[in-house]
Amino acid sequence: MSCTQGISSELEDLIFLEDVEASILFRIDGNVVESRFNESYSQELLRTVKWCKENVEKVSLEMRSNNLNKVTYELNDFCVLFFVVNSVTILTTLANQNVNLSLLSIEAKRKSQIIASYL
Amino acid sequence: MQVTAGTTSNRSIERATKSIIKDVIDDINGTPDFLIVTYTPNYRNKEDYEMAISKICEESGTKNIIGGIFPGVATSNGLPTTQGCSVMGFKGNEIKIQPPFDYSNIRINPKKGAQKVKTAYERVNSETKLGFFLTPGPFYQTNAFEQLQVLDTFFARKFKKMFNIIGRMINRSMGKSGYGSTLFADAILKILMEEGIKSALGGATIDLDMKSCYQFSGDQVYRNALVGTVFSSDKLSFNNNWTFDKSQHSQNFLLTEFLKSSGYVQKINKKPANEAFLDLIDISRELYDEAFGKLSYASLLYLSAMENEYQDYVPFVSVCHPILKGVIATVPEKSLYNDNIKADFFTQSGTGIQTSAFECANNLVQGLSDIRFGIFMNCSNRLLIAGDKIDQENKLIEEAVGDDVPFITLYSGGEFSLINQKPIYSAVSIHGFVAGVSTTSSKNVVF
Repeated sequence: MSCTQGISSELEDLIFLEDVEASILFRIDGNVVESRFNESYSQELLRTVKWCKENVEKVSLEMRSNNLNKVTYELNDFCVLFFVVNSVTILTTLANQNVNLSLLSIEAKRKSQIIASYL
Repeated sequence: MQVTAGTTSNRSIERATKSIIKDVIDDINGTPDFLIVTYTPNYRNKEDYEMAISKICEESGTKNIIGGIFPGVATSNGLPTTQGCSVMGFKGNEIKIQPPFDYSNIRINPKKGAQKVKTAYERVNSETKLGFFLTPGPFYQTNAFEQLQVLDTFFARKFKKMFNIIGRMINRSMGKSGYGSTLFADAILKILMEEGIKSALGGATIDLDMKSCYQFSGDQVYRNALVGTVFSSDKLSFNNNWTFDKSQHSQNFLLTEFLKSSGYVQKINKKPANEAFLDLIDISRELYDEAFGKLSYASLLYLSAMENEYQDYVPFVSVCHPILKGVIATVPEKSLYNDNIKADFFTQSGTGIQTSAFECANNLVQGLSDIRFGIFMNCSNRLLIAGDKIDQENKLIEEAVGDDVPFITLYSGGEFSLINQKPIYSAVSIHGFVAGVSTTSSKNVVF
């Protein structure tokens, strides 16, 4: 399996989890490396993705300076989970507010480590 | 002896199964003697699990399989997953594992289930043996709590004997439809203890969303069955043990009025239990509902525990539902022996959970060397409390049992053990079992 196919498959796995709306692999400058969305996504979700894109650099700086591996935000009725993949990429998972964050964070962490092995 | 273990994750059960066959089953030289197969509940359909188990039977060449679904599964060499499967395979003559047994009406007739365990246990002549079984876990229909409102009435407090019978009837009726808690496991343990069975380990299969609950035995998938086997050895020794996070003891309280049969606590410290419970943990109704509403209103961070007849603290979960005046407690009937029972609160934390897992694993390896494998039944609530830090817990288990020792951790809906003929049915705890070479002169001692 190629690197891109592997990453796509891991992101696809995430959106199959209950209440997950999108999974995006960002470069820390805000560029999207790969992304997967649920079939029926809303304008509200796209607004949240836009916020992620604009703020991922700031978030990643904050994470690096405080030695954080994971950061969670709640905005626009979505939960946004950032996981460090490596020094230049961040895995972002967007889920609706019904999500079980503990269970999601276990799988997102697993995926971030698998994605790191592809890069 | 060959023991292999692995975890894989994938959105598709077919692909997860294919991958686990390649990683774990193909790693065994020839046909495995026995397999423990566990999946996460996200695949939902019984047919999907049937297809997966049948594929594993076909590819492995054995029907000596038990397993079930758990919200999280992990093995020594893999990251925990909430979307995949974990398998442990055994081959060799150091350990004998009996063909699987099952009993499909366990919620209604735990006695018959216990008989199955006993028969399999007594069939083995070795001194060193341990029964291992899995049961259905807590599973409630949507209006379950409304049915319990009858236990809040004036009559329920006035005519306790009658309402103990009514509580038992409600439990039985729910059990017939495949609903209820895992308290029947305590009844099984009690029977096994009385029959002289020394060692057992088990846990309840569970889907935290209460949408499905499956157990596997051979190539069959059941909804409400006990499935199990017996491990034995003439060469190795077994240790089994348990613990929970008791590092942060906050305060104690009295269960002043309750109905034994349904574990329904009507009064705590002589006040209506629901109100008193929230006062004790110092949380508003709104905050409690927000925190635990998605988890059937079961308090996870604030664990109650009471001393049993063996002077051990046995933790139980309290369900504080807004429509009830009382609190549902997963306390076995026999523990509610008189009024004014003292219980204690222990606050659970991620680090406390890791430490207690290490403590359990570390106690297990005492008196043993060359550990061959380990099986851990961990609570799914501990999985939720630890979240993505759960892999740290498994690293600590690995530190205790040794690098390269294969083990499997299943996050269950109720854990139980018979340790030296002492029954332990508990919540938010970790129970484990390891096999290794005894370092003491007295062989085949079960601690």
